[in-house]
Amino acid sequence: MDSETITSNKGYLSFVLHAHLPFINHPEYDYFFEENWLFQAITESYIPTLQLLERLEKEGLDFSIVYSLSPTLLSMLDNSGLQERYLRHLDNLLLICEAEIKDPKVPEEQVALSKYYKTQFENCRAYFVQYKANLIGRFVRLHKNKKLELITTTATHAVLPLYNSIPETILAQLKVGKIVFEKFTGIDPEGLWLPECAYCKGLEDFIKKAGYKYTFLDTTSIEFASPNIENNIYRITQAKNGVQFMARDPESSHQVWSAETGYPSDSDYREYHKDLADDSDSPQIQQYIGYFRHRCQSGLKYWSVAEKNGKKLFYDPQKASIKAKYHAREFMLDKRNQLRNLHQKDQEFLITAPFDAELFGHWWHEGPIWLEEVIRIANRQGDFTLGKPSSSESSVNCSVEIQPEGATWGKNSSLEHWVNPTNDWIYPQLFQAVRQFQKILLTQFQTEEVISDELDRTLKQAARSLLLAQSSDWAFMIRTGSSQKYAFKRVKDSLARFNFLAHSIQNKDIPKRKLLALEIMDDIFPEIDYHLLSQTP
Amino acid sequence: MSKKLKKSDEYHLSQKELRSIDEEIASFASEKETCLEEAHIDIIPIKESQVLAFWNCESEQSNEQDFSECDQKLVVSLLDNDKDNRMDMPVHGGSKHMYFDLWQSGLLVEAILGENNPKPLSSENLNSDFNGALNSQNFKPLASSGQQSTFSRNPKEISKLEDFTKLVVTNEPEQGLGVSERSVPIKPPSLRIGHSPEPIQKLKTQQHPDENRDYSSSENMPNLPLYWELEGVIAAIQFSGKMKLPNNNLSFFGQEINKTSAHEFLYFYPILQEEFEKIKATLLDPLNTHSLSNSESLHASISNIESILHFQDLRDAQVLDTYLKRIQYPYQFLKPLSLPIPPPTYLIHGFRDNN
Repeated sequence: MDSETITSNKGYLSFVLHAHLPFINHPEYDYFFEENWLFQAITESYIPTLQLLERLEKEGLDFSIVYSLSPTLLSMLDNSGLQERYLRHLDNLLLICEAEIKDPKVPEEQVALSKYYKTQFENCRAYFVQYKANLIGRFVRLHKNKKLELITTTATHAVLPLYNSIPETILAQLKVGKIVFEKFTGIDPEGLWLPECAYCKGLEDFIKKAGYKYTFLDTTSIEFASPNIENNIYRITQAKNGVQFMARDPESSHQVWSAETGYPSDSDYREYHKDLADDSDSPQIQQYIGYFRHRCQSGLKYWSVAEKNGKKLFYDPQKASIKAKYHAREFMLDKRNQLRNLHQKDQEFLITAPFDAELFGHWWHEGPIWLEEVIRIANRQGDFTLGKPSSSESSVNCSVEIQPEGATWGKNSSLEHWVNPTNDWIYPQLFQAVRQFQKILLTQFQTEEVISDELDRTLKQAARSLLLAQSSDWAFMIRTGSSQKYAFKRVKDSLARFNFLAHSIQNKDIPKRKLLALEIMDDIFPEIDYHLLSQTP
Repeated sequence: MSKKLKKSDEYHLSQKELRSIDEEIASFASEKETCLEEAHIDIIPIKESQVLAFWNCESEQSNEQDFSECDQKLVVSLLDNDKDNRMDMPVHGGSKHMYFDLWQSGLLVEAILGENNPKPLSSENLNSDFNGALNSQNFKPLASSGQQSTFSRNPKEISKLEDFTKLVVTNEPEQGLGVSERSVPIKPPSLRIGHSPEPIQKLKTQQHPDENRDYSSSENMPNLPLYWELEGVIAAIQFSGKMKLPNNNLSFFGQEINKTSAHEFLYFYPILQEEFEKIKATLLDPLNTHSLSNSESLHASISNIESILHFQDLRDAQVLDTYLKRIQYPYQFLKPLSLPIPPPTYLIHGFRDNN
């Protein structure tokens, strides 16, 4: 591939990585399986991404990436209980690695991979300890050095169009999210990641009221916006109220996510689904599994996507690394061609490539290598500015005001993953709870002269429960059948906790220890302003 | 560690006590489960490929002020495209009903307008109550007795629509990434550009359709084969290069309509009506360089279609008007795309294999 000899036009390539996990914290158990999601994301995605960006920064490369940190993820990253458990998680994995390395029955290739993982886990542990578990601080540092542009999303990743009938919730999700982000990072975010890129008409008014200046929409929303202007998806467009939109580039998504041709499905890459714990009976694995009382993945994956005679081949990290770099060059060549096709006189274009941050490393093991190589190539070629243009970049901004179309980045551009027969039962209860809470607030602040500390705490906790129940993750998991029981439990528990607290307030009987227990278990958004949940937009 | 956090032991709460409280409070969920049965759903589209759902829920202490939006009891049941059976659904049925099916984004949506249905729909009672009572050829409204309203599609018909879905939307099996359901985004149709859906608030306050109208009657329904004439007109536009519609899918759509019964046509009707008006305007626009306004045969064809489709009559039908405003029909069949969409955000949720 001779990508680097081709001349091209100038343009912007903006990676937008959205890091999010639902709030999962179970101090009531020693081990809790779903907490592993955070630990795996830290090990495989967040730390590798931080390290690669810091490495490139140190080398003096020019780049900037938009990185969205959800308020729930920030809350978990900052949770000392989870931080401690993360280290324990790494230690358990290191024990498994060591056992594998020492086990004479383990094949040579597998031993080599155990060493590979051992190095990776040790590296993560050292990094985590070196920075005193303060990953948020590392992200903020990169933001201050203009290598990242940190943005955030709604408080609990609620899909906003679903709450159009209770617009107070939309505003509350946006405002609480922003406040929480500011508290953790000290940054006033200009950008908003709309959960699932879910947009409906009128949402820009809420976005502006919450203090955001721009957001990202699905291709469909901009492509079918009114008026329809050519190449709108490659420019910054804006709503009547000035909120700016950037559209997902379909080609970039295709290259990375196509089921048939997407990079991660390459046969040289690591197979995601097959894990050591799937069929190993080693004592260490059995002990590890035993913590969670059922078989689960350890994160030690020894196999590649490739198969031979129906059997998975061992993973070759070196070969996979070469392929990732090759794919990076291919990607950049494609971007150059895209840019060339778009080029108009005196006009620059922006290619926006949003992905889930966890794609890079966790889901697609070689993703960080690919991303690093993309940044290196862009720096060598110099035809792309890596990053989002500033708001005042007139050459990319489209001066025409548009009305985007409602859409999501989900299946069929619709909301069907979050609203369907498997999960629609959530919403009637949720909406009723919101109304009930608004009624409680109205009553309490009409009748009570002084809000006691205990009542204040109870109202805060009720607000937390309500917001947690609104997380889009639960509806999605219920739909896909992945961790369905847990997702179901979380929705029911959050609503039950709200019901309990509402009941306690109405009966003027707040059980102290139960309130305390809920504060410990749903230890999120400590300074939440519950009035936001009833604030009329 | 970056922050000192609350720990149970600092407050003399053991893990055991936390778990005990957790379990105790979890029981408060049961009080609300009845809410499910009392819920009713509004499905209000933003545009063709999106369906936004708005639920209004009556609580036990409901009052008019709180639930003023609940005047309308639109109940929607969604059939999973991957399954033959219907999922349990909250329902408010009613004394007078309208029935329509909507194939929407891979989901079949069945809606019933009405009120006072005390029972939720479930796979079980649907199968027993309706599979025999209603089929694609024989749609009848329920009597005004307030009895449970449950309509179901004939399973064979569902299969047919599923096949249709498969033909139109290229849901390729997942490879490599193992994402269980690859998103296949569908563009809204180019024909619909410029269409402006009703504002949500307005939609929410619309009145019920005429309860006395018998929508099961097919006497005013159009002569379905004449849809082919309409398609001919659409083909002419395609030929003109002004519109880009995939021939195969459109043709298939036409065939599907041709095979359907009158009541099924009801839900395709708004598409035809609106598209026809646009097509006509385009074809007859003298400013359009591709205008066929001088074509006598075209005028004849348009006139013929208009007279048979009874546009004005149907446009005045309150029910159609309501439906047209409430639910914009999906247009995926017009322009499927092959571009992929990333799976939603929780890429790391698929870990548990023995859950």
